[in-house]
Amino acid sequence: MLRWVGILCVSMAVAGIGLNALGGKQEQVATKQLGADLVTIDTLKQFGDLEYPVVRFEHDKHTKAVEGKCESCHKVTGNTVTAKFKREADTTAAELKAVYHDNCIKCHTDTSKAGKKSGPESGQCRTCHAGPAETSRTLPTFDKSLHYRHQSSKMVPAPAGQKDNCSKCHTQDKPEKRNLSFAENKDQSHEKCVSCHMEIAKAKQPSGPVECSGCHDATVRATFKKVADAPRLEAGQSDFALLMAEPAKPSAEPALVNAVPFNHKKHEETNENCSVCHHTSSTKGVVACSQCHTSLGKEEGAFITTEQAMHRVTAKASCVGCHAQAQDKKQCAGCHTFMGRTGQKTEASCAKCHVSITAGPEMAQDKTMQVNTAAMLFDTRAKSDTVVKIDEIPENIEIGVLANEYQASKFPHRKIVQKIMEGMKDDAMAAYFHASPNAVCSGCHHNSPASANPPKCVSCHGKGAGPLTEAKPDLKTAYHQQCIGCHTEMGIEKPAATACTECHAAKK
Amino acid sequence: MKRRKFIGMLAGAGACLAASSASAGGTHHFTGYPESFGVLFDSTKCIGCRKCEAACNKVNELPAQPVPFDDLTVMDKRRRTHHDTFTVVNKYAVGDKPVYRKQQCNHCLEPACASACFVGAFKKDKTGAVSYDASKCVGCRYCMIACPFEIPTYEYHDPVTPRVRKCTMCQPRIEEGKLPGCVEDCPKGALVFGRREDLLGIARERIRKHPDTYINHIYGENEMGGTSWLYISGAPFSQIGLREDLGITPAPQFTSGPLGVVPAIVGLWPVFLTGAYALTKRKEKISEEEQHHAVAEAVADAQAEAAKKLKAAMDKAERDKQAAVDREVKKALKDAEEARKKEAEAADAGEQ
Repeated sequence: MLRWVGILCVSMAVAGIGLNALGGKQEQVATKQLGADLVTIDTLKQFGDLEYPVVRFEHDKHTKAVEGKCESCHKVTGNTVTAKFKREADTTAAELKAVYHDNCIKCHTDTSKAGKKSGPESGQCRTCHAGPAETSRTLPTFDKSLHYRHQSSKMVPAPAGQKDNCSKCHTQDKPEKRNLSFAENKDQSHEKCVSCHMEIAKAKQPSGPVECSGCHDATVRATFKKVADAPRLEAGQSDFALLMAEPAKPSAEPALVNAVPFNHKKHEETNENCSVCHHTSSTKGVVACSQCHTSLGKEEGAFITTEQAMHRVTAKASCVGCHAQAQDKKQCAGCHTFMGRTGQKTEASCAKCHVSITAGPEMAQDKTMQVNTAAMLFDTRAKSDTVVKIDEIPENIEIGVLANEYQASKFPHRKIVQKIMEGMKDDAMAAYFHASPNAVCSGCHHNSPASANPPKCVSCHGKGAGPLTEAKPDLKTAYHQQCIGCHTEMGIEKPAATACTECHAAKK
Repeated sequence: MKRRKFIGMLAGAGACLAASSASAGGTHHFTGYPESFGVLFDSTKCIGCRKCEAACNKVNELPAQPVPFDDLTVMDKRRRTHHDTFTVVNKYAVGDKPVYRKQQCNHCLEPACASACFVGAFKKDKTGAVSYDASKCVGCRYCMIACPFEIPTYEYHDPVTPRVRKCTMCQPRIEEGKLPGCVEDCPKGALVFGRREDLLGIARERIRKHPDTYINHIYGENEMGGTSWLYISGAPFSQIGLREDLGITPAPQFTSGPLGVVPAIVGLWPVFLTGAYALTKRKEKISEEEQHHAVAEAVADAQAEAAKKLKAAMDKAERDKQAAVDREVKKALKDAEEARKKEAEAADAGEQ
């Protein structure tokens, strides 16, 4: 009897497990959030698939355990620390494995023999090989302010015979030939930063972080001193540039038609560092876009053509992509979200950047002439929409064309325009891109020629939705989508989207 | 005929039939009636105002609800459709923002409910609606088990004429040229009614135009072989209560094989039995004839044998008889000889 009960129990358990595997909801194991000092060790990945999950290594914890003596794990020569663990270079898989296993486990064993708290030892494989973990580690942005603080630091003297101290970090930089690459990989950048910080700290001077969280923890980074008006980074760049497509045939002269005058100085001011656009500058140095992105594309630029590099809307480093991101700001999103990310593809919108100029072939060779041309073009540009006259804008509008369950909605039209204008006040991009007459009105009065007397909404959006022929909403939807959508995008919390009577009172 | 053999034959025939109809089900894919309608729900536009619920209640003349439709606190709990609510809007927390999703019948192109219904109470209409005919329904509720979206509900409170209840896509209104109630009353354009083909186009266009707003997927385009109700969203569909494990195979394809055999088996039952009976009968007849034949043969054989034996016996008897006669003759002759000798001897002795 008992045996049958046992068999029954076992079979039920097996069935239960089977069901679970088939489709039972399994609770996700909550991943432990580790600090900014998490180093994921997956060195053996270069030799093929890993037999074990990657190792989670908490660096700051270990730094504390060895009382900040880097030489316990890293090769230190003079003031330079090697980034790799107990070795100079990666040799073979077997050797690497031995380096880690021998050294880690030996140290753990010795420490526990000495009666101190220690890490896992031989046989506790999965304690270290625990797989990837959630971490608060984020990459630091070496912005203009940080750059200026390094550049102006007394502790970073210029090398003998040089005016600037650039080559202290940009090791390949020479005054006569600019090369602003910094490090080829993670190891190199850590070796550079940490070694230098340690050296200065040894001299008992205020220095930069040497532990992981000092750079990789966002909360720590937030405490960094910000230099508000860091002077411009000098790399021999001109204030203006005239961007042109290279000629299709090497012998042909570049067509200057539709060149783009580019205000380089303005973009430097509004961005954190060169890498925002010159996205490989830390490893390759600051090079012209056209060096990798050609009209046909080439391998160095991952076959991304000039056109794509400048216009791809989903790319962070492309002109259009970056400008599209700028439209995500609350004060812009109200109108721009509805326009979508694909751009208007109209001649007028292309002409905002591309100018049609005709010039002789000498301009193609003469950089100064290009710079001057670009500067001149900028000078002649309109800086704002002078057509909008606030007091001529209708003050209040009653929207009652659909009134049925509710009374007509009282719409404070002028107040809203003022609010929108306020959001664009000090924005250079808004000033230029909204500079055509009544451009601001087009935010709501869309899909019709910009004018001070735009057509009524109902002239496009029919009152009743008949069978659908295009993606044009009916009038009720159009109003609600415009008002509620804009409020949502701009983060206006009152009135709530579902508070119907706050815009149109209930019918008595 | 042995019973085991009979069942074996039956199983074989069944398998053949199953194979043929299953392959028929496998190659056939119904992509919906051309020009059929559908509704596109866009979760990025829905504000959770419950106007669609109110409209649905009104146009379908459903019972008044205990909680008024402008009370939005009901969405704090996850709700499902009932016999008196064909649609509900649920609130899901995705990140730090609430995302709303309307739930109702998805009006599959190849409905699981219809494929499970053995009385044909469900029908996919050319308007795109999956309609229900209460007069055919026997109340087995297979449709409720079959539906992967847990949509059909049942009037358990009605002891006499309980019906299965679900959204009708407002088929009667569509036929009048009106919009479904929920779509007509949605203030935000979160619901768009139109031909399914057009809706797919609109959905694609929205996704293309706002690549960072939407997930690049139209839920319902292929799920369960496609549905007339389509969804686009900025939040992963699994996080707004839409199953992503359904695959793209229409429900009928899973069942058409095995279920396709059922009517065939039922229809062929008499044929099988008659056949089996005929076979048995024929066999019996044959064996009987064979037996007769065998018996006759045996009898003939026996008779021939007997005649042979008789003849042999007769011959033997004849021979014996002849021998006995010969023997007797010989004996008589011998006796006569001896008698003659004795007489001679006696004569001789007398003479002396």
